[in-house]
Amino acid sequence: MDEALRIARKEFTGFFASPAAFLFLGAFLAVTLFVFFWVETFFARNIADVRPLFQWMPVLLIFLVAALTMRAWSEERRAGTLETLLTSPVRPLQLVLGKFLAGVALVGVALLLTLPLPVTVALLGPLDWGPVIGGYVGALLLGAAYLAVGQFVSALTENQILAFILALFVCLALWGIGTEAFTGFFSDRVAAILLSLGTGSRFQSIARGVIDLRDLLYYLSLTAFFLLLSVGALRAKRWV
Amino acid sequence: MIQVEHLTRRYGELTAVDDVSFHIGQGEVVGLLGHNGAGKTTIMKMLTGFLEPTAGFIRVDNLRIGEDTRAIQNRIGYLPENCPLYPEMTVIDYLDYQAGLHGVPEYKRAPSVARAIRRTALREKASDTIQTLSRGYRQRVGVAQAILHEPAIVILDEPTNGLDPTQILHMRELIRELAQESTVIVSTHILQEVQAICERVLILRAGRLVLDSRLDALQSGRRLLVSVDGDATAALARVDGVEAVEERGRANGRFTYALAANDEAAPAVAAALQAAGRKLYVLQPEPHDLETVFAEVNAIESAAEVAHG
Repeated sequence: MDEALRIARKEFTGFFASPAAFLFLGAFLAVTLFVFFWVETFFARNIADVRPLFQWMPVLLIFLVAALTMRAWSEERRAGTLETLLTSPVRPLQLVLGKFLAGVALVGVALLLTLPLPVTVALLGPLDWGPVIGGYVGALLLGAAYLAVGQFVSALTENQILAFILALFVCLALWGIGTEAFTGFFSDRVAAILLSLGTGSRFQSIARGVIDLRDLLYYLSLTAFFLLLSVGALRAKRWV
Repeated sequence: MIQVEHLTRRYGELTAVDDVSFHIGQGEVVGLLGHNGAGKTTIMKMLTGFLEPTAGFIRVDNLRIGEDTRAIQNRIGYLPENCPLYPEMTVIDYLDYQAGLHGVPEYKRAPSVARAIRRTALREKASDTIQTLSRGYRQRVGVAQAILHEPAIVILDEPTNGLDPTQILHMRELIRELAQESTVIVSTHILQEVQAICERVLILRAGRLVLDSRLDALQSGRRLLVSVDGDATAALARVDGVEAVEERGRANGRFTYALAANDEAAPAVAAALQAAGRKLYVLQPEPHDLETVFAEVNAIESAAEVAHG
């Protein structure tokens, strides 16, 4: 765990070495604010809550996380630094966890940056903080699941643009299977299953402020599944 | 210390390493020599546990790659080909990070980093970011990374690749210094490199180990090149210590010969040519490069085949 934390620290500080980092976070923040005030017309609704913020999280986070993770392994592969990592006596699991924790911290920073929003709302009217806190916890877990997907995809290719597109594709698919536009094609039973598998539909109750253990478990298992796939992808490198 | 038996590695259809076996003892300095694509890098990648062999096994101190990979990796310091580094980190941060990954405990980390920086003469660049460094300095950072945890085995893949002559001399000096405490394996495609630093050479060609020899043994079969202003075959053949005379060509009135002779015979050759009234333009040991070694190995092999056939 010590090693994973060290890797996480290096990854986290390394991320801010490039101006792209600020661009990603800035863009995420800008889009979030745009959606909140214009698309969801916060002032016209005349309700002091931040539900629209969390309703859009499942989609907005996809783009942020895909941008954050695209370099994770593809850059190490391209530059050859993967060889120094895999020939050091560190378990691949530690490497994967390290990168993952750094990603979680970055998503945490991005979410923290949206915090002025609920604070402003609280100043304007009586805001119920329960759902807001629940929403942030849920968003972090959702982001963690996307991070695991992004990291796995990045371990498959040397090309970070390809990793970005693949991550978008997989995450959007995971989100899309739970949307009404998609579940409408199926019978009620299949639709129910799809709803329980979609990252967005799972977030509905969280956005409403209801934290269900099953939802949390869903995100955690999705995360663990893709993290293990990343470990597998790194191990498989030895046989190629 | 390192035991490699029947090591084979295939990439799909391509056999990069084909049934290679060798042993390396404690404290040896071994050069892996061969052209690009001969399998040097693949062997190093298997020794360091980055690649899994298709067949055969590697043992280090009775630990086996595959089962005790991590324990073996702990004893190995490795500079991969092309010296991969993180360009955005400073030298000192990078080394500190690598020390952590290689299990150097917290209290020893700063002294280890300082020691590696001192040994690779990186002190004035220690706080620079790696992307601002020249190729030579980067290579030194790579070596510093490899020796951080004071490994018993140091594996350097083409450590002098892309360095200028002064930097090459520094690198050789550093490798010789490392060799005092560690077993060192160096790969290169330049024979002079091996001659400058190694005691033993493993020559690879197309994935096969064609020669495993101590370097002094390799040097004994040397030839003398002679260039004179006329036909001197008879005069040369009479000289003591010259076993054979081979004409290499005539151009611009110069006759060039290759003599199967030790360089001890050179003064006698010069004297004989003087006595025969020939003007001597060149008298030198034949430059020894990979090609001539291959030619020798081939000659030995074909001779053996004839003998057995």
